Amino acid sequence: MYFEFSGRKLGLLLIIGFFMASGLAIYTFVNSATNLTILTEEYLQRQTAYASYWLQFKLPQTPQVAAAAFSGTVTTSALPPTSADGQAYAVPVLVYHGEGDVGTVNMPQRTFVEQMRALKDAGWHTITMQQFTDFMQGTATLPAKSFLLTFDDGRRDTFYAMDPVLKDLGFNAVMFVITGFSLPTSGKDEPINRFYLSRSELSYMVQSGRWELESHGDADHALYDIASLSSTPGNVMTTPGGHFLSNLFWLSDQERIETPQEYAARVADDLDTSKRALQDVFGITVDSFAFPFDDFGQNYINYPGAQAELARIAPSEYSFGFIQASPAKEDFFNYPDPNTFFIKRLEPSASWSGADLLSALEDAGPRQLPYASDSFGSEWNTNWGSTGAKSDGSLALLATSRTTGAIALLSGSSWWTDYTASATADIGEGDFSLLGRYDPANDSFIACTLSNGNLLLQERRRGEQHAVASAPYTRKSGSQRSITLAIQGSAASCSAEGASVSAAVTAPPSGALGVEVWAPRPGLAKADLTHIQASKP
Amino acid sequence: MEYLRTYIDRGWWFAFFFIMYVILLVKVSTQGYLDDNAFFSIYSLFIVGYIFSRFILSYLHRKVETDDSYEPTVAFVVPAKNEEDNIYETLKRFSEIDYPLSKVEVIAINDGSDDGTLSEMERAARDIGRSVGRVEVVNWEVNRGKRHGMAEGVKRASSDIVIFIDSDSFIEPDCVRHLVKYFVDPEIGAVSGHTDVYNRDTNLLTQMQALRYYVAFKVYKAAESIFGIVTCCPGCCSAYRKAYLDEFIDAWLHQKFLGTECTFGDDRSLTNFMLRRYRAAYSAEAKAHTVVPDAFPKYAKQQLRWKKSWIRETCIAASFIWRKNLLAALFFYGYIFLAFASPIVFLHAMVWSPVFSHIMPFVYLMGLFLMLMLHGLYYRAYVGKQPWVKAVFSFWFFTVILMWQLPWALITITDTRWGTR
Repeated sequence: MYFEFSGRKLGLLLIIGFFMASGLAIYTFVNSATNLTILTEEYLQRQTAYASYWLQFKLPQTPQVAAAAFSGTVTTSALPPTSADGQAYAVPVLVYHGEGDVGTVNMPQRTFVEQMRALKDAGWHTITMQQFTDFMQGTATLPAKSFLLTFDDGRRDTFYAMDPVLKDLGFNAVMFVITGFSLPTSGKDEPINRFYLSRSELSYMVQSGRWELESHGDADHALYDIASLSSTPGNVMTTPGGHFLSNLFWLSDQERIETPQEYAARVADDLDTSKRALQDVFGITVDSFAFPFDDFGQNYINYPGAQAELARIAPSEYSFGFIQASPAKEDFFNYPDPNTFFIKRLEPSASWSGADLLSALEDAGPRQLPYASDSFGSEWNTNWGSTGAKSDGSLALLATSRTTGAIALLSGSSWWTDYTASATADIGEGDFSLLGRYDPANDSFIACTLSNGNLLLQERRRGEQHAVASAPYTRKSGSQRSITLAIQGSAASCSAEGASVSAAVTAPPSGALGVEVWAPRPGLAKADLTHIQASKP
Repeated sequence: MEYLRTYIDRGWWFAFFFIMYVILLVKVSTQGYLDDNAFFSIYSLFIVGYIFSRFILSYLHRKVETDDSYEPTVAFVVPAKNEEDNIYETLKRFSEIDYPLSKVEVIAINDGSDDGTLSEMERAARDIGRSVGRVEVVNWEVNRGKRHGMAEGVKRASSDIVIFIDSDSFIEPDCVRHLVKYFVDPEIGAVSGHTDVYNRDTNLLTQMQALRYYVAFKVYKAAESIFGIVTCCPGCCSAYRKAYLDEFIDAWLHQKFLGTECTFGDDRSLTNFMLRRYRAAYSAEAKAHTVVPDAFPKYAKQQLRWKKSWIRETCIAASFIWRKNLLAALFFYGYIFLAFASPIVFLHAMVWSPVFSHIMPFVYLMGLFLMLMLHGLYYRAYVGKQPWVKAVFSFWFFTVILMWQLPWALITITDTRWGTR
């Protein structure tokens, strides 16, 4: 009714419309070439993450820092290395998964910040993958309190919550990426869903210098239905929740279980695919593999040979295979050894405070000779049976209803080579042994044993145990006994109760100090270790 | 200096179109995420389409020339209750207009005031009585309501055109000429003037309302006026053709909705009665100024009343608007969808997505802000130096807060109390 279709007005509208349309066309063109939208969005998300970190964790600190500066009571962090030469003898590796309050593998950002700050304040610092490799190869040393920080799964929540912390503390970390999820070969540059980091986010991580990318498998971080070996065509019995690397697959097109050769080819192909995907996309070197679900073949359903096969296949593709270790059971530090493939990692619990993590690292770790103790604690790991400190400070060794004995190992001693050790114990029941050069990976050690009036020098090699020398001793009344084991190169000697034996042995070059109690039937053996000492020969 | 100013003004328009471009850019680049859900994707396209169409249509609104040979008699109808502060000024201005005063009739209705309104009316009547054609002061001892006052004025008026002026509104001298010029066309039954905020500089709330009023009239009413379908010729300053009013004034006076007599939204409802048979236009040159609430509770209550009457009259208009003009009707129905969808979209963006999908409402808040920025720049470019940035921010703030009034108004639609006035 009151339209004005004048040439001037329409012309102006057309001109503006033309500019807008061409502006949009230019944008669309630029965006298709550079993913401008995604990059902008990721940039905004990063800035939000940094701002959120600053608001939550930096701003509340500012008044304290300012007050401390004003009053001149700036607290300096504890001095870093405690070892005599300031060098690291072994390196711990930490592994985290995601950010969050729920789930067993998640950790709230607040807890992560507290744990990392505790390490930073105590003088701990992160190292790069290259430094770690050189250290393990023995071609370079590291200062004490070095650790490698790793994250599994390539999750977005991890990156956005943890990156500000790394940036703030000057730390760097390794992200084990599931290439099948983050870099699917569907032709699109997008992860399978927004739970996982995208190609552009990973690319930013590499460029930031704070993150290194390594492999967490391609198709093997998923669950599969595993057919039982007795399956026949038309009658396939499956168990759900099986792992890619630990089982033989059912070949549905050929209606049979795959052969070990086909298994080996499938596994090798997956390991290679994820490695090449990361190398090709980001132009980096990928030489480490974290076993998905921490399963390196032990959690098989239908293939008991998986563990041995993986131990053969994985090292042909990667230099290191990262697994997880239980700090209560074993020394989770990694000692330099060019032959080491499996790298142990500690997963800090979300319930740990910063101090908890710090003591977990500092109570463990490489120990120096001489060593002496008559009050035992968490530094003694349970290797077998049941072991634990008693209220009087002694270490109780007890066979359980299912074991014939118990073994406790001194954490941080696995790198010891030549040493003389003595132990005093109150023996309740069974044979008592002092163990040296214990190598859990190869189930090998040298033992000095008091057994029914005989003093035995024993050798255990890959699970096979036998006495190399023995001598009778006179049994005294009372249950208190002392025993001494000396190992130097391949010469070992054992003495106790006035008796003494020595012999040449075949033993691992280095290994942990331990104590064992053993009886022929389960549930009987028991002893209390009251004193132990070790020194260089 | 003049030369420089021209460039600065062009700068504002450039900023205006740049924001438009940015909005389009955001829409284009985020469309991928919205594809998953038809509802949000339709909303997103509609809201941009609707708002942009308002600006484009208002730009194409044709100016009507004043015609000195067409000078119908006009009657100002001013119902008032407790308005002793403003009523004298309101009435006084009728004698200062640029129009043959002998053709002017003034009818003031004192609707049961308990202050000095009546004496102020009588004082004004004495002062302007000699210059204008006729003055009448109607005095009701007991309050009957604004609708009764308006109807009484219409019945007592003997002029061709009835102009409703709120008791707290002031007209500019050339207002009448710019209102009546549209009545040359016999199809036109009502014309809305352009009302700006009189107490703009009181505080941030009134500054924000000044922005809203300006854009609501200049853009939104103009866009409706293009089709002759202005859905609300507001009571603060609007003209109606007396002959057409007589056809339905009694039906309007006793209008019922959901069984209760309608007590507010009288202007919107009167326009609706007019639109059934005739058309309504907007005159950007017919300027008036009105006093707006300067405190939030009062403002919120006013907005709630407006929203209730909007729901009521929109239901009614929806039944016949499609017969008027298909394109205008499309926009009309589209707007209904937008109004009711916006709280849902808000909840989805601000609560649902952050909690369940971990998507922060950046795009939503930015989109909302850019849209209001667009209005703010339009205001700045036309009105000149004003605290428009602050106004845009408070517009943003109040949009979010008052969005919730619509569902609430729907729930409490049968509660017809005024709250306070």
